[in-house]
Amino acid sequence: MRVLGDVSPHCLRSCCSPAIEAVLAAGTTVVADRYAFSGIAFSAQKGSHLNLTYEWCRAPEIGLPAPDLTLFLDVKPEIAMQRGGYGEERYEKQEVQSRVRQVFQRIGEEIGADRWVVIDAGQDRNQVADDIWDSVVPVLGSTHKPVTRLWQGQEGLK
Amino acid sequence: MSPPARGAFIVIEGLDRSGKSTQVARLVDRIQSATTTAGVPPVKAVALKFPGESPPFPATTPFLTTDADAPFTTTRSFSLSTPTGHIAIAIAHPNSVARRTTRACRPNDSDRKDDRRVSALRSRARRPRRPPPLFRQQMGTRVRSLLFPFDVRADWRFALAV
Repeated sequence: MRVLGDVSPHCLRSCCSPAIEAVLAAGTTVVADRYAFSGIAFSAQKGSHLNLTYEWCRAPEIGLPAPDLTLFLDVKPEIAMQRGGYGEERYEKQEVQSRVRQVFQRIGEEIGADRWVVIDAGQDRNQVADDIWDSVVPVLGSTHKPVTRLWQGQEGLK
Repeated sequence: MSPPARGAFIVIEGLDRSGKSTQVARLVDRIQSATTTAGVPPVKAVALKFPGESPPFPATTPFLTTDADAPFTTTRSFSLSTPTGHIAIAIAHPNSVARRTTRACRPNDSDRKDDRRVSALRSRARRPRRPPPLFRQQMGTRVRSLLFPFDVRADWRFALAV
């Protein structure tokens, strides 16, 4: 088995885009646990000394199917640290999570408030589920337009 | 409300331990059980996991070749060529994906186990062995060794024969 590096996940997601569109076209709603944004955030937080600049990490994701809605579960790293099992994964360090959060905020600004909704994940999980549902309901009935592309046609993209 | 022309594409992102897996499973269940009385027509929904470095990972072929009304009817494993190598991928039935995400609130869900497995593989990864001194010489270089206390020309064929 080959251990993938930092570059491969970006390439793999590109391979999957026709698959997602085929499923969507069949009328099935897709709920993705992470998407291209995580790849950008976790790679870009490593910094430019590894040649993983934000722009580089974003480049292979441009043109992928754009989600109709992205729900960002926002929780402060210090609160996440108090949750069970924190620290077991290699990126579960407060400084890493803080940098990742900053990159996510930048992505959210680029995607736009109409498609990027921040949910307070520090609340009770039932309340979080209700907040998510409130945001999802309008989207379920408004999927008559074709799937758009991430960052495509955006003016002033740096 | 008229039926949607296509499925909605919804993504849940967040930091580690923000509850993504739990909420994805809950959202899929909620979408599927939604009824018209709630103002939303019943919608077929699947959970899709986008790990950075760990299988299972959905790939193009099974999605495109499967009947739209009955997608993902089998668990498959196959390989995929990428610009950085050839990797093996396991595709699980979506119900199994949904079940896994439903159990994801447990401390040892598959996502975290996969992450640990990758780390373990990395730590065990073999590093290339340094070749013996004779191989490190340029071809034709005069070398001397304890076995052969006279000058010989560095030659891979000679070294292999020894």
